[in-house]
Amino acid sequence: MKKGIVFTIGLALLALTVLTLATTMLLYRQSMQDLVYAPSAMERAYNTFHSAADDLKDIVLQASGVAVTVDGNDITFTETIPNPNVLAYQTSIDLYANFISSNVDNLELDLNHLRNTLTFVTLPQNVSYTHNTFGGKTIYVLPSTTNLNYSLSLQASENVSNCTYDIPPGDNTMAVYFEITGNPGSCTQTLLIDPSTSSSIYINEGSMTVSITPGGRLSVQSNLVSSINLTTTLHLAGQPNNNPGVYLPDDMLTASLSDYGMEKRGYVKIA
Amino acid sequence: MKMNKGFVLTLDAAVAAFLVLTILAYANYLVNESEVTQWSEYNMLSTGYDVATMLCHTGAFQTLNASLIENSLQQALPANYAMRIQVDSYQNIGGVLYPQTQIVIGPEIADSALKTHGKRTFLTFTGNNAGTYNLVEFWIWLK
Repeated sequence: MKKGIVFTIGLALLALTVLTLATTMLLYRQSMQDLVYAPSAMERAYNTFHSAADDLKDIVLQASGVAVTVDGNDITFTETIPNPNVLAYQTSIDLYANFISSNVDNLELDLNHLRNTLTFVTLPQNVSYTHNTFGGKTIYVLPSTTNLNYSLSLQASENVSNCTYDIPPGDNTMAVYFEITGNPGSCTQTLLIDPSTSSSIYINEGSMTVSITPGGRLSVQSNLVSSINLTTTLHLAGQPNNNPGVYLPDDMLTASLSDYGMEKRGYVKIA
Repeated sequence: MKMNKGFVLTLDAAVAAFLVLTILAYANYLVNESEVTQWSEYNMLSTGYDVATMLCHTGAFQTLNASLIENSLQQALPANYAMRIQVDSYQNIGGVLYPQTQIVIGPEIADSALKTHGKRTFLTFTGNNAGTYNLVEFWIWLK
């Protein structure tokens, strides 16, 4: 009788041990699966994101007609205003969005701003170079601090008859080098301005206007009959963070890892 | 009689010990197997993406030339892996994408339990226009 009880308790303990072991194993495998599958999912998301980033970089650099160079702390953007590449560029963007939605899962694109305003962000200084409308007549530079200088070089195919400078007195902490070459006529001037006030340069009685508004915001608007070639250089040597890079904004691409509640977003490096 | 009972108890203990050890060993095997399989998949996937990215960044894909891509693949792929690549090209004709060519490189996909699959895209340009929009799919497995 006694032995029977001991035997039954022994068997019960053994069964309990097996059950506990099986449960532990199940839980362990589930947690391991998450740990083990997550790197593969992240690898996919990382590569999906960077593949699309490479494509967008190619479209911007080859189809937009905007050239970007980084030389130390000097960032230069060169383009024609109005930009003649607008149709080719916007068609490329539209087709790319369709192509991705048909062929690539887990990648969300929001290319409206890229298509319509084409904004570049210089990081880590956070200076934006953008367009009112891509293909339009106005470009903007929107810095986060006034601790920078500008060089503007413009080439017009029509007569530059006069340049008027409206520079109010102030602290003169921002240097703006300005030159315009017409056919014929030209103006060249290095201006020291106060970035907390509004300063303007008017060409041909306001057919073209260069303005610097409070905060050091630069705008170039051309209403000339013919297009102009515009080279805008940002001199960032005075900024606290050096080694700038030019990127596309971080709100265009999202590679999602829905199974893990994660997503990969980021800036797209251009230069 | 006493000897007989002792024998039964010893046998009982031996069977119990055998059962417990067998279960423990099997559990250990299952857990290890699960880790090995999945980590290998991750390594393969990572290698596949590295190779595809390299062929893209070196411009091999952009040639859309099967033999050139195959040569580059042979140079880039580690010896213990096999990889099949399919490139589907779509051409921009008047603002609409049409399927143009399909390039397939590499051996038939092995009927292996341990294989994985990935994708990337690339573009080719004619002047300022994106001429072709290309989808690369790869399958990679251990030889």
